[in-house]
Amino acid sequence: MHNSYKQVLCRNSMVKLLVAAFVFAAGVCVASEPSKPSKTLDSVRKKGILTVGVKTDFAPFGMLNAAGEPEGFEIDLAADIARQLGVKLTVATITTENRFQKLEQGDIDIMIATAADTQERRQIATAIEPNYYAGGVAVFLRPEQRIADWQAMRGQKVCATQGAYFNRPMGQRYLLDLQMYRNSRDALLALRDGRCIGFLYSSAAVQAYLEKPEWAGYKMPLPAAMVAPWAVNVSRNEQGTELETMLGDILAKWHASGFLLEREAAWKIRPNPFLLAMQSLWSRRDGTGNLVCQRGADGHWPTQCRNAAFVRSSEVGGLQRLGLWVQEQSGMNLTFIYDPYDRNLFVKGLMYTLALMLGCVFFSLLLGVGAALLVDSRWRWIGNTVRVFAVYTRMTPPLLQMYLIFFGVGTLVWTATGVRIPAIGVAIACLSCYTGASVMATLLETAEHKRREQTDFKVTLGRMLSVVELSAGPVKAALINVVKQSVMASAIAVPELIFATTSIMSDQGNVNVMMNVFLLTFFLLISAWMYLLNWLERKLHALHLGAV
Amino acid sequence: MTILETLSHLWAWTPFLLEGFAWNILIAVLAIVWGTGIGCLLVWAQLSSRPWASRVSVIVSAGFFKIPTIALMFYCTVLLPNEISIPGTDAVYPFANWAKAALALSAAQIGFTSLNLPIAVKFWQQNNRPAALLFLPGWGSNLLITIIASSAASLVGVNEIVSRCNKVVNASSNADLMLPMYFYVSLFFLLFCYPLTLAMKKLKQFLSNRLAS
Repeated sequence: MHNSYKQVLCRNSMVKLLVAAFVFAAGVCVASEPSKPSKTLDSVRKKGILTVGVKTDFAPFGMLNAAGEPEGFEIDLAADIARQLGVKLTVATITTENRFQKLEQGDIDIMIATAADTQERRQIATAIEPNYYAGGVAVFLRPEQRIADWQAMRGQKVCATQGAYFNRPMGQRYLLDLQMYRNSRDALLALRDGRCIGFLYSSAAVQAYLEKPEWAGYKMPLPAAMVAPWAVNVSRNEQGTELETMLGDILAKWHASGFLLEREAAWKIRPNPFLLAMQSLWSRRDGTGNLVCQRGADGHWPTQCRNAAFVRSSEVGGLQRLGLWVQEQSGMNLTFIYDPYDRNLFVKGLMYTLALMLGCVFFSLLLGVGAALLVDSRWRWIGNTVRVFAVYTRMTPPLLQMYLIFFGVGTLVWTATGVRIPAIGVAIACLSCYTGASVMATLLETAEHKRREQTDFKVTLGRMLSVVELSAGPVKAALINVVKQSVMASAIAVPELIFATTSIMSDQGNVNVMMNVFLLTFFLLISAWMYLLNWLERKLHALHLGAV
Repeated sequence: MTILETLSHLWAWTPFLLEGFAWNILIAVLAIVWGTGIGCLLVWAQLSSRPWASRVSVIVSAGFFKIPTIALMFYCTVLLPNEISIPGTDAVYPFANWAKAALALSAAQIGFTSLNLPIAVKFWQQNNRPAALLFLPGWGSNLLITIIASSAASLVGVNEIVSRCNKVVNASSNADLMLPMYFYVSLFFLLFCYPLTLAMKKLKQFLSNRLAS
């Protein structure tokens, strides 16, 4: 009771008071809830030795030097912690399998071992926030492969190692034909023998392979996917203790001062956008000159500075609180509503889908009408050319036409002029040609009927509205069809709804929810289009042009 | 790369591509057969004397009509199980992605059947055979549209012709081959579908003339 009153007071004062008062109040709040004492830290100080568990098989993060001693990016971090504590450092080599067990047994005080920060792992250890690095999954491709985006990996044979957290979601997202091997050495051999076109593995490790002469020509052309932050871990009993707070403060300073970026460069690791973003976040100041990322009254970092995956509904407000509450109650994870990143992705996907649909309907009508005019015009040879082109576009899959223009013609244009054809333009053009040809055929068929009564009937601009009115039914069907087909644009990486949905569900794992939301969204969109086109048809009939 | 070299390259891959095209046709035929079957069931429910059955049938038909095939394809491949067991028996049948793609493609045919079959049945009962038979050319055009639409199965990893074409293009280090390759594959569809379209048109004309006379 007393405690919550103090928190309310603190919160109010933060809003109302100015600089001096703010600093004072913040000081009071932090002072009011000191961290619990830490057993581990006491024993480290007593012994004067800090034991940090590191990896030695993950160059350049942790490896053995010529003298057989561990060195690397993570060992540098361990050394800096020991320096700040004023104690001696001992590093212990741990492996992927035993790292959390060593922490639990107390064999090591701190673990810095390329461990991705996940919900499950937070049940067995205390992850320190902020995270110190982020790694994703990459594909190490054979030299002869020319794949340029993840979509092109669909259905491909890809080597992978058993038990990696990304196998399942990546396999689902890109429908990879995964060839499982027991360890990375076997997978690499299989890759060399051409049993697969690439090796799906941690991006940080793949980057190290790229440096080795034995893998000359092999490449990593695709951006890392499913990027997960890595955390420094301490024992689960250290939750909320002085040790956790102290390590968090050290990590925050590492980000703000650029220490991590500097160590990254020193070990020749490819610049990681995560570290750049974190440096700007942790050194950002608000209007009053205070750091944005400062511990609040409860000792936690502010929500915007935390890893969104681990924020609970009791710790946030607004839409995010509602979304997390729904998830905690029902298990339905509606991240596309409450998570700002996923929401942007979804809204952007929706906007692209709408733009595609509008563009396709407009240009299908325009091309169909234009083609019908040309075919029925005086210029025979133009009319015949249009007819041949229309047959081609109607009888071949628009998907294939999109590849033909986007990759085939696009590459030619790019090498000749340096201009890249935008994907969304290619998609609209191909789908509109395909549908425009149907619209043209329908309009010409109506004209054919008209000729039975009036032998010299020709499609002209003046008669166009009446011809369209008489063919309204089939034209409407063709337009509804192109609205549905617009989904295909995802094949050439237009970030529309399919793209947004698959991205969100592979990162969040909420496959059922996302797939059903996706289907419902399309159902509503198509219903709206049918309503709109029916309305237009009624308006057109109301003009009574068909009788003319 | 000379024209002759390009042609010989295309020729070398032709059997591989043809095999893929056979998958397209299989998927399309399966989609049409399933779609017609499910569509018939819906029509039967629509014409049934129980009001709830016909209402459910109308809602299901509308639902199938208003969802894009490709969206449905993604939905089926992600959410449907990879194996189906028949309850009460030990039989377990694999449910591969190509079969799921066919199921998704059948949606359009379900819509077509449930819309047009009742009309055809009515004409048949009125002894107006040619008008009833107009159902057939429509059915045939749907098969052709479905063959063209089956190329979308490549998006869910089915090893059909477009997916094989992408593989050949990706694996070949020669960028000059890309344009001819995609064009060549598009000709498979053109040469298969165009004659059949003309035949369907002829059939429709023939039936219309019979109707007029």
